[in-house]
Amino acid sequence: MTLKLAIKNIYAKPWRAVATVFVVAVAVALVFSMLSFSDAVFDYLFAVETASAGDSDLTLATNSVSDRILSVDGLEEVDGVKDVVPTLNMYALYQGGYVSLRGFDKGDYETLSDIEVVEGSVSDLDLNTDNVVISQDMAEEYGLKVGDGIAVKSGTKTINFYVVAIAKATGYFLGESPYLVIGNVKGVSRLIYGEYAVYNEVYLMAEDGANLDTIINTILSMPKYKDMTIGESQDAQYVTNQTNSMSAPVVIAGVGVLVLALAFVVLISLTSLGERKKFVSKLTVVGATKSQIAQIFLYESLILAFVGAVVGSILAGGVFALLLKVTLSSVVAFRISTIKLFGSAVIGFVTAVASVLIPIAISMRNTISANENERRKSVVWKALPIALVLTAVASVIVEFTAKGGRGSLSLVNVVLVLVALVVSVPFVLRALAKLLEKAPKATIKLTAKSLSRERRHTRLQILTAGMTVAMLLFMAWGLTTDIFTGYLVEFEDKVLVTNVPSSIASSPNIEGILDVEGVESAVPMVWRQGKMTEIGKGKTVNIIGSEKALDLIDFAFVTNETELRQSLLIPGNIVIDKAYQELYGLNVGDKVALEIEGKTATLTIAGITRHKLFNGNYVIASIGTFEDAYGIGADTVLVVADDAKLMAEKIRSQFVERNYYAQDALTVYQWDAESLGNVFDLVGTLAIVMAVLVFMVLVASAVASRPNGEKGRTAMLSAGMAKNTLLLAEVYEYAITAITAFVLSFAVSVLMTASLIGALRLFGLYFEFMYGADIVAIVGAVLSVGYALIPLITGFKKKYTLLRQK
Amino acid sequence: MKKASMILLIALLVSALALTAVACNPDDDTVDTRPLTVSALVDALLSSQNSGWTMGMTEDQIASLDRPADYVVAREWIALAGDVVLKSGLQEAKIKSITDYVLSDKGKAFLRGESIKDANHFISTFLEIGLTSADVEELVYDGIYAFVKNGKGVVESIITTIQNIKGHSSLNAVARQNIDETTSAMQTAKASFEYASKDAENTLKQLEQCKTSIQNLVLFGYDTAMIFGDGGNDDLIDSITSGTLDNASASEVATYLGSVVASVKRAFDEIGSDAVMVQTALASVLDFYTKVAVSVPMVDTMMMVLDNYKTLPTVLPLLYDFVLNVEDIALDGTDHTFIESVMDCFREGYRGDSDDANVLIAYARIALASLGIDYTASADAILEAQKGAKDVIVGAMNEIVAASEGRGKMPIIYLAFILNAENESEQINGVALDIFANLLVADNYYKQMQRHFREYRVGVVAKPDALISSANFLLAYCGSKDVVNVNSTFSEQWYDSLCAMVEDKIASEMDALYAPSNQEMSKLATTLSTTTVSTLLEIANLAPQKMGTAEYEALATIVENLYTQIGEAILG
Repeated sequence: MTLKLAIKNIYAKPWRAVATVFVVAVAVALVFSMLSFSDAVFDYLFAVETASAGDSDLTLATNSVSDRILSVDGLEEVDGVKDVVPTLNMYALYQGGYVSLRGFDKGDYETLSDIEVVEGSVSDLDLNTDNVVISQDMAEEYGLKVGDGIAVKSGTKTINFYVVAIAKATGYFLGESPYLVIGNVKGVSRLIYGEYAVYNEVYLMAEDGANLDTIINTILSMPKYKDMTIGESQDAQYVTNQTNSMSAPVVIAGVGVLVLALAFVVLISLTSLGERKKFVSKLTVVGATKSQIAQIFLYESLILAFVGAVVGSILAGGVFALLLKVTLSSVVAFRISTIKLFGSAVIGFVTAVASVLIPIAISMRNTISANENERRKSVVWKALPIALVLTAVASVIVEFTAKGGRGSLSLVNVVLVLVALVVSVPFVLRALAKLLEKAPKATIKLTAKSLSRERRHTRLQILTAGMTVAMLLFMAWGLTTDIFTGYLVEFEDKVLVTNVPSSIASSPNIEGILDVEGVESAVPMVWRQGKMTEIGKGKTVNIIGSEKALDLIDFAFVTNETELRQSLLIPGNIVIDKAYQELYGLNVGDKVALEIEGKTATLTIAGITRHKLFNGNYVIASIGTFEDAYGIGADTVLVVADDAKLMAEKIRSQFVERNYYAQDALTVYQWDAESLGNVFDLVGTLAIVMAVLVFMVLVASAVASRPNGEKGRTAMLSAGMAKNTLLLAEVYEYAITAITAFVLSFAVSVLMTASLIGALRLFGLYFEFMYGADIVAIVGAVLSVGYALIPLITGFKKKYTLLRQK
Repeated sequence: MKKASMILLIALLVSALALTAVACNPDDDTVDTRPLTVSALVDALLSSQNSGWTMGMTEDQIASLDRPADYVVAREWIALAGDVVLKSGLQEAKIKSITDYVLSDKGKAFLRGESIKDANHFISTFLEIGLTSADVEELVYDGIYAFVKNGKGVVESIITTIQNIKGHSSLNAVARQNIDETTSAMQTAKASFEYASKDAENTLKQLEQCKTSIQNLVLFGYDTAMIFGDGGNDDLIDSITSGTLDNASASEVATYLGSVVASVKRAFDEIGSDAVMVQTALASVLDFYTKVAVSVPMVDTMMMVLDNYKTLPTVLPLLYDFVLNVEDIALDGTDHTFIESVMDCFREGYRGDSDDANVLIAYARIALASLGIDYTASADAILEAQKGAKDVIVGAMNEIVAASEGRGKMPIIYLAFILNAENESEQINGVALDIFANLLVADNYYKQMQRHFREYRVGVVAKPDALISSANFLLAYCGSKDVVNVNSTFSEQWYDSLCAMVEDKIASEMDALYAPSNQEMSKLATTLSTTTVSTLLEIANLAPQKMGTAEYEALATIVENLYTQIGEAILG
């Protein structure tokens, strides 16, 4: 019987039921999205970063670009090594642009990674050494099909290859930049000496359970390989660092989203609390026991919460997966964690049930008449917002004044400030309403009176919380974009010339590059990545190996510039970014361990600069430092020219016999920009989805709570108020609410953004304060206007009746 | 009834729709463009011989040509070549690019010029026009196979066609003469094919059995020539001075050399124990070719390539040892001292002349390295290396001798000169020396006779004078009282009979010389010019001089004199 009553209750208020289910589902989806975001970004970056290495565990390479490996004798006999895949990788020109050529031995093409073919056959690679596989993207770009020939140029040699298969953008071809061409190593070697197989990278697959360090040491002890570099193919730590960098702002903002999602569930339940209490009173009057009443609400909440959780799970898994496919990549296999999905569903379910039952349980302790009357104004309830606000203020003061306050406290403050805001906003609204009661216009007066008398401003709290979190997410989007576009701006006029001999550093005119017309400057340098091994689990840094870099890139000097420049000339000294000073407490004079391709040296911090370049993850040192400590000479020439693209072509053609790889820097980092752009798209999409969901919850809440004020509206209409006047009053009510939410959210968003930026330090990211008032204003304005128009959008006027309907 | 008719009509309609769907299935509409692509190639090849020639000319059109028989001959052989290409694995796009090459000025010059007859450049030219080694191996093998199998059919087709054309009234006198001469030549060719065809089946079987090994042999020979040269392809020195390795560092030269050596090793391993079988097959093909009285430019060149390589199977183990020796000395360690020493020869300048004194110094250093001797080593080390070289070479020679039969042992004779004998007691005795010398001369005359026979049969030479001279020498060598003259008939049967006699004689001499109990064998195998290695050492230790200076001229004279000493030591 109680079950039947519960079901009847659900059917009696269909829109409330739908709204509840919807909100629970949204909450589950939001919780899941925020919990899974970081994993999704990791999966994407990992797939792209490890595309070339495939399933290999170790990569063995020559130290110098021109060195080649002739054979891989002895490697297969090393204990723990299962497979050895030698390859030749080189760049060449095709139709004026670079392509990446990759040569495998016969039969090894798919040892590291499958090649998913859309046309042709991979096995045809074995038929001749000049057969190749290209990607769908390359085929589309150049109008190529199976059977076509491609003429590829390296230096003064032009060699023809023939397409035997076109592959999907998976495996090796994932994130290809430039386009990848896969063939037989003898065929690719024709660009060097002739049809004689030479290699420059060897990939090793280890047996299950084999110790990689032991394998590395064994190989390095072999005379043939002792001067080569060997390391793990899949640097999960590097990808983790990259993931943290990119997902950090979203993860932090996501904490607010989590709170908001759960608040939605609680608040949507509270919108119908009054009605439920009346129902409790009625049931009590007709003799229902507390147990029976509890059962009814239990069943009702269980059903609605369960349906909401199931719908939310489907929504979460399906929509999130679709989002990832559309924004990040359509081919990367993203993990959908069933545990996280289940956990999200459970959180949503429990919250929904509790948010219905707890208030009901409390109210069932009161008398019938007490339930019918105004809620006792508890001192505790009045003091709670004040306490929260004071706590938040104190916490924020500590965060910004105390040493070491930024970081963990920042993360706490993101939540604390939001909660304090949500709890206190009704008071602000009531105060405003009191003021507006003195307004000359009658409609506004009416609205103000209605607002000031309202006990609970649930929708205001939903709107304020949602607006603030949406603002935060959009700020996070702006931050994420800013993190990685800084260096793109810096590199607009730069050309990177590689495949240069290390002796180029000692040439006065940089082997003629400086004499090329249009070259403003040309600086030979060491340009690669290293790892600061003693920071966290190892921090990958970009090495800018020349003291002249200070003239090419616009650094701000934290340390005295003159002293810094002089110190940099001394081998063994490096310069770090201020971010590292702030994050890790490093200072001038400290010693740091820097590992480059397996060799570690201890260097001294000689100075500190500040730049957004590489998000602060760079070190500057002179070429002498790298020569002395690592035996590495200049490997790149950084050229500055007005038209970088044109300059790159000029250098390629003028020095064709030297086979320099010259490319404008923006093209070199094209995939970085594209893949990071995909992550930005995901963040932006999430922010927009969040804003839309907030609005939909508000609409659902508005619809669900319509019955609460029906009596009053009917009375006013019956007293002669015109429908349009009533509608206008309601619009004013919504508008005033929206303005209140907007003003407070806007003000608090500044503080929350500061805390968000501070909380990024937990992820090893350092940023100075930045705030996009325009983004915030637009988000707030859109939500506010949308909210104010809800009475019109949802057709309040149509439901106005003169007679109260039973 | 009406219902039944309706059902039948519906059934017919459905069937018609189904059939239409099947007939119009886009997957079945794919046109095979390969025949068209090959057709364009053969057209291009034909037009490269004469711009007015195309494949599809009618008999009337052929009859109107000045030399219609020449057209028919070219067309039929080119059609055979086209068939080979059609069935090969050559990619269509590659066939198109070859067609473009054939139509280009460079291609026409190659096909009409002397280069196509140059066996030494044959392979490198093919590679230059974009063929891979796999393509060259396949085309050479398939071309030869097709020639042996279908050559007779082609000749018969030529005869039939030109006979048909002969009846045309539009033929002028020149054309008729062309037809008559060609008919006569083709009849002779047909007869020779018929004679040779009894061996053709056996030859084809032998070719099939060692297809892969033959292909690997071509690769082995080509790669080895990239180090040591064969008079045609760029060898290592050519590559360093003006080719692939121009401006390369010692490290890059070492990588290149190492990769070539690796290729040689792989090819050697692939050939394996098939060397004798390969040699037999090649000899069989060459014998077939020698007998058939027809000359086709591309086929002639391919046969010359095979002729160059036919002795390779015998000397494979020795050549392989030479390559390994070069590897040990040139690629030892990471400082590339030996390679630097070779490159040093050109740092003072390079004239592009193989007689350049600096070049000869480099060759001396490489030649010594191939013997396992590092010219920069101490005197004791060099002596030790010489002994080691001797032992290795003697061992290889014995291996070759044991594996070869009869005349197959011949190449060892030539190799015997390059080792150095230390003791006079190791000099071979007079009798053996006479046999040795006679064998050398006889073998030389034998090869000449084969060439002269073919040239006379295909009409390269009008008179058999050279053939008569070499044949008579051989008859005398064999102890025959027969003599040939201008009135003799130089048929395939005569040729076979003479060859059999000479082979038997050489084989018996060889067996006597190489009998296990014959101590002279080991002495013969180790009989060396006493000055060869020491002369090479003298040359290798000379310092390269700056081009154009008086010092250079003096150096050139010294080197020339020293090489003359080597020549005298070898030739006696």
